[in-house]
Amino acid sequence: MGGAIVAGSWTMDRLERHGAALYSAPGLVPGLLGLVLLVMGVLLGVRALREGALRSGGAGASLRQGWGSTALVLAVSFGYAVGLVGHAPFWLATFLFVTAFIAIFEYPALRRMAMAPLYGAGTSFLVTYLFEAVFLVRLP
Amino acid sequence: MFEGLILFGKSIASFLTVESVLWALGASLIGVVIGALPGLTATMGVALMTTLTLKMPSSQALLVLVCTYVGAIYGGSRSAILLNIPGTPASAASCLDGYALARQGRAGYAMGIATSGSVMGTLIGMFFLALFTPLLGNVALKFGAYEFFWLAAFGVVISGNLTGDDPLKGWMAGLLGLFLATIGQEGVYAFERFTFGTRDLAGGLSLVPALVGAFGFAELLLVMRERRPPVELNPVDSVIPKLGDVLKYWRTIVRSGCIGTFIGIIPGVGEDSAAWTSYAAAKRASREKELFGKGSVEGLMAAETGDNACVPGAIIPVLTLQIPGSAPAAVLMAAMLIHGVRPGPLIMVEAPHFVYDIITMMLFAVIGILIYGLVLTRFLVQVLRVRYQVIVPIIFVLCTVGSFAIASRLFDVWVMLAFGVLGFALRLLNYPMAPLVLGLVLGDLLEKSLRRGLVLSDGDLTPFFLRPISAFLWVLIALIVLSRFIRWRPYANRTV
Repeated sequence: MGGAIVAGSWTMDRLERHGAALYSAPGLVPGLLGLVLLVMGVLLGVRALREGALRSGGAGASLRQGWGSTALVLAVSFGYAVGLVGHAPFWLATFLFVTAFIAIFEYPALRRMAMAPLYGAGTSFLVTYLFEAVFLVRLP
Repeated sequence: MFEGLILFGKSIASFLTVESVLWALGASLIGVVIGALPGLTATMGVALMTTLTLKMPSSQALLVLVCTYVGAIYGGSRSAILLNIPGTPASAASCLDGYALARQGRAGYAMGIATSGSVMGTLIGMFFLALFTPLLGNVALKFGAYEFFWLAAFGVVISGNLTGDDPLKGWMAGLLGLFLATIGQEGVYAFERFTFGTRDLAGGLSLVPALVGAFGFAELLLVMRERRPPVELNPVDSVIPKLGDVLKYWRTIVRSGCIGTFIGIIPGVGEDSAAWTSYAAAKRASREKELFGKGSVEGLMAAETGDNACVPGAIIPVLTLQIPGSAPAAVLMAAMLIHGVRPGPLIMVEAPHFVYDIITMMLFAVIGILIYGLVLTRFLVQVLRVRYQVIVPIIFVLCTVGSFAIASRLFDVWVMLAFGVLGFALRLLNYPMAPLVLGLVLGDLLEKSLRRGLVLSDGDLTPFFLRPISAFLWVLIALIVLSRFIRWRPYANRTV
């Protein structure tokens, strides 16, 4: 990433035709930041290699735990924020999201799953009312 | 001095309305609840409340945010004592003795001590806020572009150095934040950088959606990944401590209050360091060292006094230098700018009353946490029983609406999502978040100061290194960085 930032900054227009000096070029600061990031990235990589990053049974195993639920949370959350919000009435989108989220993650506890639509309706009503009537904020 | 007292009195009078009192009490309660719930932090609470208070008058909006901030730092002690899980990172030190006291059947007593410590810590911090802000404001008037460049760099370096386990990762997180702040039109020629033709990126990344993502959505992802089991709470006894028990530790309270405030003033370090440093200092000075970690009242008092004293401390550099002392203070600073308040070196010249307004807001927050600490224990215990499967989607809805509310555009919701995923990935890889936030907030100041300084000196770098305050700051930065790379081991070759 540091290398990409340096490359992007180096090829950035230096606006010399507008009389810009090298030290006021738009790419100066991101370029310097990218360079330091690159150096630190190399140091981090070298240190990790010395500490056995490529050996089996490293930190990767613990990082892989819990990916199933994370992927599910991401899918449901992105489905709401990208797919529903702005494309469906806000109250409906919120009701569907909260209900689906609770039902999915409470599975297989049937009694708790049955409560999901109540939480969905309550959240949808309260958030819509609070934002529009109390905080005077426009909803998507 | 009397001028300050008069301004403070006027400020209290202006906030003594039914509406302000209700907002203050409500926001303190929200803060306490957010702080008490493990996984939800003060930064997240302040960021979420910033989006909710956009349309409110600035004084009331900031009152809500300050009360949320103080309440959340205090609220973390509830779950630390009852569950042995710090509600916020700032309360980690409180787990050691708070939970040990709870195991001895003294959970209520421990919560009373934590409330006393938090109240005393905030009051001590408020005293220093009133005392130091005018002094630091006068010093800040001597700062020019060169000094501000080094100060911004110092903030990122010291934050990276102290907030995580690995300074290298902390600095990289800070650099990433600084880089992300450069996206969009730059300040001199309005040239678009790293926007890839996206019109929405031309104005740069909106700070509040980015912070809501990095601290809200990312924390929700972590909470759901960990899938904590249902909590088991210890029984709660009386929450009202005896005055003698509190006064017995007055030295610890004063010491921890001073330590907390001074750590707060250091850019980007924050409440958790303040709590640990206060705890360590109390242990070193205590006559009951052996009790620390086994239910020491003094240890709990030190940790809680230290982290709450840090809150006013972290606001001092916000007001005088526009440099936040902690991650929640960074969000608070962003909120001040949104509401048209311009903190910085001229604050004591242009709006000295604002400093006393902030102190008044803290006073309201202190009253709030005192009330909730004494009367709402059973309610908070019930809050801790609420399942994450229910809380998480509700907070995500607030994150989404809050991000949209800033400018009424869906692009900000996508920024929130992107920063949530980025923050989640960085946390899993043990990158601290505070330097990233500080980098995002200070990026603009760092770049403007560097380029302005270079234009003023016509490309000459010497003023950056030879002006007295600049020289002090860059030498300090160099020493901090070098100390992490050079291991000084004078006794390494000796045999015992």
